[in-house]
Amino acid sequence: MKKIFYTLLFFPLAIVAQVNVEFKKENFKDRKDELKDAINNIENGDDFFGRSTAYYSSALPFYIKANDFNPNNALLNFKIGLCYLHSSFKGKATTYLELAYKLNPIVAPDIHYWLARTYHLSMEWDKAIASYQKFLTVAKEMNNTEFYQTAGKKITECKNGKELVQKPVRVFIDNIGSTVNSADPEYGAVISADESVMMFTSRRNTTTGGGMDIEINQHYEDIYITYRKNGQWITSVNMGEPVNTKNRHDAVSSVSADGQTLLIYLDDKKNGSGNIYICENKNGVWGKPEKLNKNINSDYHESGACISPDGKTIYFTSDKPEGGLGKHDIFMSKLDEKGKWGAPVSLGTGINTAYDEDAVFIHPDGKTLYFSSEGHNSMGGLDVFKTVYDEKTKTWSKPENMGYPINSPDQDVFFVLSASGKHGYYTSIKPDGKGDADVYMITFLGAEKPPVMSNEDNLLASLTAPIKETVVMQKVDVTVPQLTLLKGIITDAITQKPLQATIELVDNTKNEIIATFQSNGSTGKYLVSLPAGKNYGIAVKCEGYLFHSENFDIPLTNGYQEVNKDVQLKNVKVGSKIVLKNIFFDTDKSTLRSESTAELERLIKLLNDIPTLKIEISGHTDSRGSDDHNLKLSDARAKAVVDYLVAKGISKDRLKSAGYGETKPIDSNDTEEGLQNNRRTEFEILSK
Amino acid sequence: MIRKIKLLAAVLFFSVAANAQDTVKVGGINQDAENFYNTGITYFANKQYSEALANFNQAITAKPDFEKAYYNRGITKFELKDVQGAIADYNKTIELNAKSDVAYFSRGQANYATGKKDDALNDYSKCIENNPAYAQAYYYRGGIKFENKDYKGAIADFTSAITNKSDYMYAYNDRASAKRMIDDYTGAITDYKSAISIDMNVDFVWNNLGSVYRKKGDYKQAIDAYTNAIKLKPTALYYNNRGSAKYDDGQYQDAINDFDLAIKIKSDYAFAYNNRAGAKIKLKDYKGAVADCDKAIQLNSNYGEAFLNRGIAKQMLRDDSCCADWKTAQKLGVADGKTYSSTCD
Repeated sequence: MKKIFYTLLFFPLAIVAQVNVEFKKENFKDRKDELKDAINNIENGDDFFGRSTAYYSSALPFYIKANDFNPNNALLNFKIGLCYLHSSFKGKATTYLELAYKLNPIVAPDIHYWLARTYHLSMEWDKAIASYQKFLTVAKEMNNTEFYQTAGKKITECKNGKELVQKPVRVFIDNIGSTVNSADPEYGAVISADESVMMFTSRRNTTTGGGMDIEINQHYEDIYITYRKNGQWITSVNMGEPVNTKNRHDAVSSVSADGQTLLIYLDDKKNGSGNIYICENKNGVWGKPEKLNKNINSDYHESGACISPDGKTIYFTSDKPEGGLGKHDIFMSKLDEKGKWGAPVSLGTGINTAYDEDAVFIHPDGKTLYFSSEGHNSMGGLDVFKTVYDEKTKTWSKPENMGYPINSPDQDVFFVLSASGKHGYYTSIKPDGKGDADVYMITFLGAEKPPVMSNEDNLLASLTAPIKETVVMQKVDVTVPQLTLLKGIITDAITQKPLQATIELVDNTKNEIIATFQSNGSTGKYLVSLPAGKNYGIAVKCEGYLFHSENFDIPLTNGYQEVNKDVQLKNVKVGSKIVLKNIFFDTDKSTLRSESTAELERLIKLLNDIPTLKIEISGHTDSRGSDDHNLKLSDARAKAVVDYLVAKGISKDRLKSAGYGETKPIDSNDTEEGLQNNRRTEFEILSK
Repeated sequence: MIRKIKLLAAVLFFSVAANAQDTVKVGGINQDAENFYNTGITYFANKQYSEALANFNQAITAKPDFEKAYYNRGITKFELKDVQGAIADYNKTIELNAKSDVAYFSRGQANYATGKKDDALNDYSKCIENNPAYAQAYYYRGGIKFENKDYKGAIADFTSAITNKSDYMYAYNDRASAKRMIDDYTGAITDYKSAISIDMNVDFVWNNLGSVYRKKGDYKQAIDAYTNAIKLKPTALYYNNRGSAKYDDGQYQDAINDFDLAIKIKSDYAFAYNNRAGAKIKLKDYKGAVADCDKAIQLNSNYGEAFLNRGIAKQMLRDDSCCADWKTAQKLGVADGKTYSSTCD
């Protein structure tokens, strides 16, 4: 009996709960004052709501108050749902939109679209698809092509999402904490290749000039910087002027591998068609950002850019119609002989789509490009994709969705990856955030590591000795970038003062300068990214100093490694000795190999720069072989270098050659490394 | 995945006693030797080996070229664990009768017992040469070839054993195992089933059948076969195997239940702890997995697989010591340890 009573009591109430209650006097006869307040709140909310989605957050508190008074108004619930859908608390939208629909199924012509959006964002794929399909019918009846296409695209995204969540990628995704993230939006973080420095964009009240962009109801963007000490990012600070400008949007777009050069988006026209600027740190001081040339910047919106590790290619995004496929596309441009960026070329239909491509990032390996796109098999909004350039075929691979949970139905953007490939950083809005958009770190765990089981069997009835059977497991892919990060500090050998030196990177096989870099004048720090598969000659040069050379032969099979190499440059003074590490001879012969050309050219330049300089070229061997043979070989090799220099126009009376065989070792002859160091060609300044 | 295969503990199915030479007829003249010999056989049949030995000694003293007495003394010494003495008597038997099949066969058994597998193999071959229908000689030679990883040779011998003894259940089992080793899973299943059709109450044959089904990826059949083995003899080994088949089939909680039972039967069974850890990893019970691996490592400090699995669980717990575990696994010969630790700082 009791059960029946409760059922009967509840049923009429449930019917009442489904009725749309308008904010009218007849509905609230005894609550006139409260009704008046509620209507006022709705009007105030509408004032913000009508401006743009950027003001929805301001409308929301008013709407909530009105809803407290009357929770059963369809239109108000609909508006609250939309406000939440455009906030950091998207998950709250569903309840309001569902109630709005229940109270009045025709509360808005696009109610099914917004319901679908909430289901889509919460990954309720089937419900989302069903609601989008209802909206498709509405769009068809309205003969609205744009709505129709939008709903169709969203249904595709849901189907993509259903597939992608079936095979999640193994990652840890962590908010990187309050030293970077705050209640304000933080996004677009970029890192140096070794993750020692990070710049990011934020809209905080500490913005330079302190102004608000009233169109979007937020502070102007500024760039902030933080450093990683003992594995933790320290408190970030505004980079200040001239990196940031007063009351304009300054957003960081990329940073060079060594953290010394920034590409910045600057809303220089204040009309949303911003441009890309370059900003360099010299001697510890950030210079004034300089606008890139017209091959990069157009009258349209150039939203971001990054430069390849060798400094010779720039990738940028623009919504210019020329060469584009629709919305923002990725373009590239190469440095010409004069050091200017050449004509832009679209990355083509394999990469660009009719939808937005944005937030482009080239990895320090020089061949893997990451970007965000609403096209391809996005599961909603911008998803992060990667594509790899094949040097042989000169083509980019088909973009690969980075997968769930890196990508979600919402915006997943501004992905960057450390040189080691272990950590990625990107921007996302998540429930565990500090507020609005935050910077998150992704730790890649690689393919699933299957546990190894142990079992026994009694295979032979007659024998007693156990046999261990070894079943070799299939290899697990471990994606380690094939590159070497070379970093260190360049100082004066005597004073230990940091030097701003030029680092020249040479492909010894081709005798081509691949790239030039500079060390930071205030710290002497440098960082160079060396993709595997080349024999590199590295020359460190600084005016008034003898150059220093290094050789790195990095086979293609090499994985990731970091090499610390501090360099001490010696003043040009009598008695200074320099080992020429990029001079190569045929085995046991004195024939110079072609890979030596770049090093010899550097020596010629030094002799030409200081015409009074007289030097001795000396040859040295390791301890293997007979003394006599070693003396003869080292002498012949030194002479071969002198002959080369003379042939190139250096006066013979400035040059002396000597072969010392194994008599002047600079390292142990007991190790392979020591033997290699002892086999060398050296020069010494005799007079200047 | 590493699987360990233990061969069945010392089962000598063909008792050497069965091969004792027949009694001899005692005639009218002095037949002391024959009398001692026959008395010796009676003692041997009653497992009174010392008494048997004394009588065979007297028989030989009375008749120094008494071939059968040497042979029987040899098998008696074998029973008395005097393997070298047995071999000496078999040698004498062969010296007196180079065409003896049993002497070669028994010397083969004795040589195998002392670890001289090559000598044993040669003896079985000589036995077969003297008697091409000697099924047991083929069978034991096949076993040695199996141990020497000559699986095809082993299959040929087990086949000859079956040809000469059609109900040779163990030969079917062992041939199936040899076929398994060369990845002929279908052939192995057929042979295990033949063994079962001869005698369906041998637990290890069911277990072996289950393991081949598992290798073939037919986990349901594997579970059924292991279940039959368990019904006949509920050992920790069989529960551990059935748990692993359930693990392969994605039945992680059921797998844990079997590993629990294995541990209940044999509380120091490191494999079961390690495997339970694997199932716990699949169920995201990483702390539980670490605890099980800890126990497995405590039981066997050189258990590389347990170190590897503990590293996997620790990584998911964000415990950086996972790298140390993977490096240890690598040192202990688990190749994946190197792959995993290469991702560490």
